[in-house]
Amino acid sequence: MLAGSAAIFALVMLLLLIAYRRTPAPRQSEHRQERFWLHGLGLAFPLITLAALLIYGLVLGETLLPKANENVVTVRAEARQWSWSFGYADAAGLRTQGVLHIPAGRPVDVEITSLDVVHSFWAPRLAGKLDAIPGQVNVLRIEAAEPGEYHGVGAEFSGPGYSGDAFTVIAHDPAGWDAFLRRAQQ
Amino acid sequence: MNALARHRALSRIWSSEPGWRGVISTVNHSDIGRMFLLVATLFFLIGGVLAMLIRTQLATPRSAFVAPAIYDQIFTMHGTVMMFLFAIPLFEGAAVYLLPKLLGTRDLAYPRLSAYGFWCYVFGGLMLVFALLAGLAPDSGWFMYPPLSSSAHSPGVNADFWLIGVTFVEVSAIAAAVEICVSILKFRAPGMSLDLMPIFAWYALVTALMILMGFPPLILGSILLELERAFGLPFFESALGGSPLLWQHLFWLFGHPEVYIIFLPAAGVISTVLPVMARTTLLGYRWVVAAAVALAFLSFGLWVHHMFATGIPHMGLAFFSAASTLVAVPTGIQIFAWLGTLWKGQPRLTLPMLYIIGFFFTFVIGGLTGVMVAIVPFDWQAHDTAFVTAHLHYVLFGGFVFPMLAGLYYWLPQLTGRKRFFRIGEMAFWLIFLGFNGAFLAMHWVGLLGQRRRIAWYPVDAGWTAINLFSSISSFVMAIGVAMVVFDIALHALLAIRGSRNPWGAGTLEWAMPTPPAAYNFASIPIVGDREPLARDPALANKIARGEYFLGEPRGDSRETLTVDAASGRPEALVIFPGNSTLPITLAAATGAAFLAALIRAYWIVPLALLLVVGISLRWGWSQHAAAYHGIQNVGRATLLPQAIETDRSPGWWGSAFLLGADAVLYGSLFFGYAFLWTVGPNWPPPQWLSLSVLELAFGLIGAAVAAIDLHAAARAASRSASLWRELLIAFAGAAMTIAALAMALTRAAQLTDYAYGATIFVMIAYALIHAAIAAIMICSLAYRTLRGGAAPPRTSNVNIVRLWTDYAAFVAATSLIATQFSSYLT
Amino acid sequence: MKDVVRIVIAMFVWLALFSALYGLEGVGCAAGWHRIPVNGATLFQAAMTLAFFVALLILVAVLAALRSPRFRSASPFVAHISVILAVAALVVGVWTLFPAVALSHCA
Repeated sequence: MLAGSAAIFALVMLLLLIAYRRTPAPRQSEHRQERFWLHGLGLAFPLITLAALLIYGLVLGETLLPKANENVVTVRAEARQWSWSFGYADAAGLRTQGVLHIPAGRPVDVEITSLDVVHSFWAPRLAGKLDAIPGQVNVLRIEAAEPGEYHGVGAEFSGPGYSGDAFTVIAHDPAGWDAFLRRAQQ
Repeated sequence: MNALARHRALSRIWSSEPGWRGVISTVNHSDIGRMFLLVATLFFLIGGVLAMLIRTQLATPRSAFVAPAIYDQIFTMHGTVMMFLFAIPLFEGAAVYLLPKLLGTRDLAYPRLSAYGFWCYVFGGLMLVFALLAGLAPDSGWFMYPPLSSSAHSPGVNADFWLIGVTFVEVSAIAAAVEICVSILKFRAPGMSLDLMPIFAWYALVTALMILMGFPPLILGSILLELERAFGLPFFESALGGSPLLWQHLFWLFGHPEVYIIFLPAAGVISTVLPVMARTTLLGYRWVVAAAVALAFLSFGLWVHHMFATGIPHMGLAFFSAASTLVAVPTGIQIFAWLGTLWKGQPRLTLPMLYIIGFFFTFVIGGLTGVMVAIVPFDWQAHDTAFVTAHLHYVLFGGFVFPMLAGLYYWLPQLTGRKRFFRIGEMAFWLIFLGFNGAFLAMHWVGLLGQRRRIAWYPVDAGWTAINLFSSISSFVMAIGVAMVVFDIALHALLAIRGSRNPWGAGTLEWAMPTPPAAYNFASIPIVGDREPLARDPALANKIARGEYFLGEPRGDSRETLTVDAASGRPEALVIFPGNSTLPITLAAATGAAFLAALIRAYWIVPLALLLVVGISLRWGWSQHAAAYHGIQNVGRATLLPQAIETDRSPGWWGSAFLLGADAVLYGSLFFGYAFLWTVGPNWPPPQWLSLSVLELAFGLIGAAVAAIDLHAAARAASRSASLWRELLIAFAGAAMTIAALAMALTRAAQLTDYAYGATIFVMIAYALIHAAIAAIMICSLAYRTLRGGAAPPRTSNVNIVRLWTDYAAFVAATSLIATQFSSYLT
Repeated sequence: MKDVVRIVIAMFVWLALFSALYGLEGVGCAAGWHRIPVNGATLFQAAMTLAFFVALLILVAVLAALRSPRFRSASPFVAHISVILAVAALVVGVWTLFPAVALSHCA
């Protein structure tokens, strides 16, 4: 997108520059000029470029949706002013504050909600963001390719404490995940 | 009568009073336009200072400049001031000042309404400035999402300042929009058919229609949120059947068209100024008009792209992603039409052209990043980051501020009659251009690195410090540039020498008058046969001054102009305008008193203030009633025309029609809210429904039908010059029946308002009740005039206006009764 | 004034249809139509597909009307612009509404 945008921007600036440097050409009929500028550059060119971009974006969006999958682990994220608490479908009764534990290499569905105002769950390296809205549950599909620690922030302005609204996601390898669940059972 | 005598006679008739008395009583569009522009510029400077405070805070990571609570007020007010108190009023000022001149007429359709709109803007703006200075400014972000902005999480009066102050200012915008629509369609020079209208008039018409459609959802949302905060009606609270998303839908239904309402007039300025700078005509006038109309409608189909992260299903998002990418097409048509115009002509590098080049550079970048965020997966990362802040400033500053500065320098000789001498403007441009890009270009990057918007501080180790510091320093450079522009304009207005009348060699009518313009614009109203009348006939200005066209002989003390047929420009009627009046500022003060009373929760004052509003409005409505003369008049060039108020559809009728259009959008938004909570909102069905009352339903429907039918009968009687009082009496009885039925339903609904369903039907019934009351008051006032008789019984045009309001009130009463009484049948 | 209506009517109809289809999607998902089988597909799919084609038909009808001698404007300028916008409305209709038949349901 950046390359394409830069090219389009360069084209426009070039056309602008040339308008100043060229001597007025022998008069083309206004109709021909309309066809070039308005139908060609104004209509055809953007329509083709945008169609391609839109299709790409929609196809990509479809692949990111939380589709049914046997391998999915479900967790729960509850936002409040200004911290996060997390629950686990595979470890009923366990709650962690400020740290979300997930297995690496498996799709994870995060059931997101809020206890007070609108917040947003965002772990940039794992997925896009999804709002935490009081009274409803939004499901975000995330997946950590590698085990490790991933930074997360609240991403909807939620009051004076918003700047410090952050959490961590710890992705465990399969052994670490089993160990985590077993610790939770105790 | 020679030109000088004509000028003196017309000046005497059209002038405002001198000094401060003149400021509060002027109804002249040039005065009011200048006043709007001046106040809007002041608010731009206030918004700019707030921006500098933001950049000071963000220049370093853990800045101790202001505490987060104060910072939240600062950025909320920066957005609020810029969007509501600067951008829209600047357009209003430009439109109010320029349109009558461009269209070849003497004033806008409703001179006193222009003044009323201005004073509402000033009083509403003062409320918000007071809040800022008192540390009580709203602090939930300029889009005020509940529950953060609800009373539980924003307990102070701050949010109420926003809800009430902004709604007050929006009254001003609606008034201006109604007036602009009617003025462009009916108040033009004879011969100016639609295809001969200056392109700016097309853009202004489209923008005004957008305001009428786009502002009501926010007005409704603000009313609902204020009701929630003040009386606990839980529209946006999930636990009680409401939904925070309802606010977001209502807000963005306004919010997205709002940014196109801001862009389109600026595009109109470019379409006007650029061809003159290139010494040619605009390429593809028809395509540009079509592109503006397409852009306007498309912009109403984008609003959910502000909500891509709220959990709406992907198909729903896809509709809006598709529309959001497509909106680049009509925008692109205009850009390439402008580039093609430059290629067609011989562009010169003047100061307005420099700003237009600045526009091309900046707005195109903004448009390209806009297409990026239109792609849903990209937006899921970029939403609520500094990337969006950078994007929106590129399109708003590039797409509005640069073109308006170009327009300022273009029309400056017309405003002041002086010749630009000091070259400060060029230096200011470079400071602004470089400062702006320095402030916002790298902001895209830091947003993609993860910097969120609206944060008061960021971590030292984030790696964002260098970019933020550079951005802050650049913003100060930009501020210096803006200050230089202010200084330049002030120097010019005070010290520059007199210049020639048409220094740019433009072809449109605003250059065919003395500069600075006289209060009456045109000594005689010209006949137009070309898109560039002045280019076709360079002697036009002299012919106009010599009175060779219409209305060149002033009659007594009357301020006269003509209305034309909307499509063909054929002259239709003579209009006599009201003179200087303090009714507008008085009505604005009474309106403001009602709003202020609601703000400070002194609710007992509200009905008193509203009574005052009704009284002043009635006085206003009837003050033009006894015309100076009756019947057909000679308007010059052997043309005989009726007076507008003696036709069936006076300009007042058209104004009412457009206003009721906006009102209908508000009503439709209410139904949307009802449907939304019923289907998508959580916690539905409510614990208790409103039960059906056949009595209320029957009384209400019959009363509504009776009132509407009898007003139609009254209109027929008036056109036969027969007596109306029987029909009006029956109509009033019908209205009274409907009011009684609605009042009974309202008291029952009031028992259910602790749940969102009950709150919604309460508002629906109250809305119908208010409109029934308005219709009843109008019918009474007509009846009073009829019974008093005398030299001035109500005319057909008056009855037709009341008929319009009664029809609407009947429609609303019927639909709201049916929707609410049968609501228990919804599952 | 009728000429002004001729100019705006096509895009206005598109906006109404667009809002209606978005509304239908919202109502359908909230009411669970994607879980009700109909003829091998679901009620949701049937409703959205039908609505999509009806919408396009309406936009074609508006275009045809504006070109027909009965409804077209006397002014060549207005007639030309209203047809440009009617064609545009049809293209916009296809472009903005095709997700109704192409994308996943209620996810």
